[in-house]
Amino acid sequence: MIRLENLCKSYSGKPVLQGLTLKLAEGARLVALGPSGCGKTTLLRLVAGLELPDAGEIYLEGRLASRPGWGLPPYVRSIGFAFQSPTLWPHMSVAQNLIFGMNGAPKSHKQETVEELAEAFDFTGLLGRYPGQLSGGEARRVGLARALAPRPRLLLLDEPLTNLDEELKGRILQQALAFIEGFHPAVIFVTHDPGEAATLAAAGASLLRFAIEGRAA
Amino acid sequence: MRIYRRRWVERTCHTLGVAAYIFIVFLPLAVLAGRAAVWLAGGGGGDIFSLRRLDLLARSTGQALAVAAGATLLGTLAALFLWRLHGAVRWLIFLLAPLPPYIHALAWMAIAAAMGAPQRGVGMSAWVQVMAFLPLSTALALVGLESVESGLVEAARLARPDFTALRRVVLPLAAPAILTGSGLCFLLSLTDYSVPSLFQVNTYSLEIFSEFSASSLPERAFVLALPLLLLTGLATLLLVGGLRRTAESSSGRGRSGQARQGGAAFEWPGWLTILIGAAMAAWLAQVGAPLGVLIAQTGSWAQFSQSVGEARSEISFTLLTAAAAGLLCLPLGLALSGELMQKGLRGRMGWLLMLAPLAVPAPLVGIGLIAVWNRDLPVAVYGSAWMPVLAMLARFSALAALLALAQARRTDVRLFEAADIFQPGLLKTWLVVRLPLLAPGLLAAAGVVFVLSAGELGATLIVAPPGQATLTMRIYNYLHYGASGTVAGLCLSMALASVGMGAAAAAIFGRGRVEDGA
Repeated sequence: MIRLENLCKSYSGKPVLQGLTLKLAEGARLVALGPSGCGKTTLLRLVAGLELPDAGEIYLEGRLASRPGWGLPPYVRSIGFAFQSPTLWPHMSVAQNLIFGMNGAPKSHKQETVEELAEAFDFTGLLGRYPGQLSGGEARRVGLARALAPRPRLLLLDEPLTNLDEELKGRILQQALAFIEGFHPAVIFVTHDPGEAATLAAAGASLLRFAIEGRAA
Repeated sequence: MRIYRRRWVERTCHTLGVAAYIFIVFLPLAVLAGRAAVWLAGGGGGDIFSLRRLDLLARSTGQALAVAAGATLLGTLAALFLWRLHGAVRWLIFLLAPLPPYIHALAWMAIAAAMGAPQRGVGMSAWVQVMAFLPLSTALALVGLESVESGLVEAARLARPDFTALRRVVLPLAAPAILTGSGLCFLLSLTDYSVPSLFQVNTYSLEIFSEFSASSLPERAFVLALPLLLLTGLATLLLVGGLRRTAESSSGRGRSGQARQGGAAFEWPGWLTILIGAAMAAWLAQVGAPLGVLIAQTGSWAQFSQSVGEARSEISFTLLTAAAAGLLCLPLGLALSGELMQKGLRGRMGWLLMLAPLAVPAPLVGIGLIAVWNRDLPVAVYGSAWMPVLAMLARFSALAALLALAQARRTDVRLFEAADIFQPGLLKTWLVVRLPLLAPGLLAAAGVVFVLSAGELGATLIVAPPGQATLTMRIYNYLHYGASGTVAGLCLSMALASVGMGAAAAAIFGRGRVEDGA
């Protein structure tokens, strides 16, 4: 499903990822655990195509997706991405935020998916609201649901539950895991919280520990 | 007790500053309105409006709309190009921004003459105004694009092609700033008569000037200006929200575009790339035409020196009046910026006070000042150099408020709070902490107001004291006889002064972000 070969990335001469090689099969789950600034987010951004590597290659489903100076556009990679902050488009309602990424699907399917996600993540009454009218926890749930809405083949989760209380964090995580049972995407979950990592490892995820400067340990 | 006395002094100074701003900007209009009311009540005004004048208003509005649309389209396309660049190089393109519109007029007249094209007409006038306002529309579009959080753009790019992300996410979020630029271009075009008159295009703003020149009755000019004031007032009301939102959104967050070094480049459709290329070509023409034409027509250093030497008296008068305006606008702008930071209705009123001068055609400012000061007073203001200074302050103090506000927003508020806690002396707090922290914005404001005042024509032409003229007035008078080596030399000196001062203001302001040093 995903193959990273000898991936390197630096910012302003400072190496963030150095020679990372990794394989992830379809439906597999990986938790990347490490302190802030060790390159976890950069890994996700490279896989998503938001950044290009300085060296190395990324293959998605056997197809070359990124190499230095070239990359497939992000939207053709069939990726769901939940950012550290919800990053909901403020001029679109919750329902419109969910639908935006489901390009090409029939209208009825979009509607069904929106309702299904709203029920799974407990925000059925909020579909007509705008992001400015949501609480922090509600916005996080919508942000996560938006990443799942197109039923991507690869799900990249960049500390999507940071700053939430433990009880809410656990509940949202369980809701997300239950929802993806339906379509089995490969998942890379990035966190600096060992508790979150342990929960996901218990649910069958492999653990990838990052040390400073992106050397996977 | 000391803290209460300090607050009282602070509030009094603030109130005096705002009152002085209102006095300078609005008293001329209030006096004009009063005289016009008395005149109308006495049966005057029956012959003011005619079908020809209403038709002229409609045509002037149409031209201003076309200019605003053209400047917005080109500005937004150019901003899309600049958005993707890194570093200060993006802002170099704005070096010629403070160039007075008549210099663009001179350049395009010369180009039209060289090409054998007509040097008059609405098309030429509109094109020159688009060129003159392009830096404004581009800058606001760029501010709008950069105010869109990078995360929102990236989230959209993951789901849809870049062009869809642009259309559905980036442009709607940047729209308040882009439309504000559009509105400002509309106002500037509608109230400007200098460029249209050079291309022998009659406009409603010119009609106000002509009416006053013919009748010498300020009340006639004011009544004639009422439909224009209605239009510009409405446009100003619409602008308040957009400009306020733009100022708030551009102060805090980091830039979007290629937010991180090494980010994947945007892929636009071919037709959009061509349009962006065309907009950048227009930008090159905007910069290259005035510089190229002025240098070519000035001919030699000797010609340049001779032109400048002959205009010594105008240059001194310009430096004196523009420097006075640049200095005096600071207390007014500082006081008004305090109002702009208020929340709710008071803040909204502050923004209205700030934007209102934009709604007033320049000739009306001059006519209003004459109505106020042409009387027996213990201090002889009328007929002195104070008249152009007052006109410049009335027109441009609002910009000083905007720059002071931007600087205050870029400065960590905790630094001011710490000064209030540790230093009970108000004067010392201001001299040692507040003014040094606000200095970049204030110096930039003084520079910008100096440059705009030096290029001001619409009001100065009416209020300049007998026997004295600014450099802009001399150039404008010469321009009616066509381009020549003398006028090109004078324009070149004006352009160099504008660019130098504009660059200095930008450099000072660019270094002015002040964070908590911890």
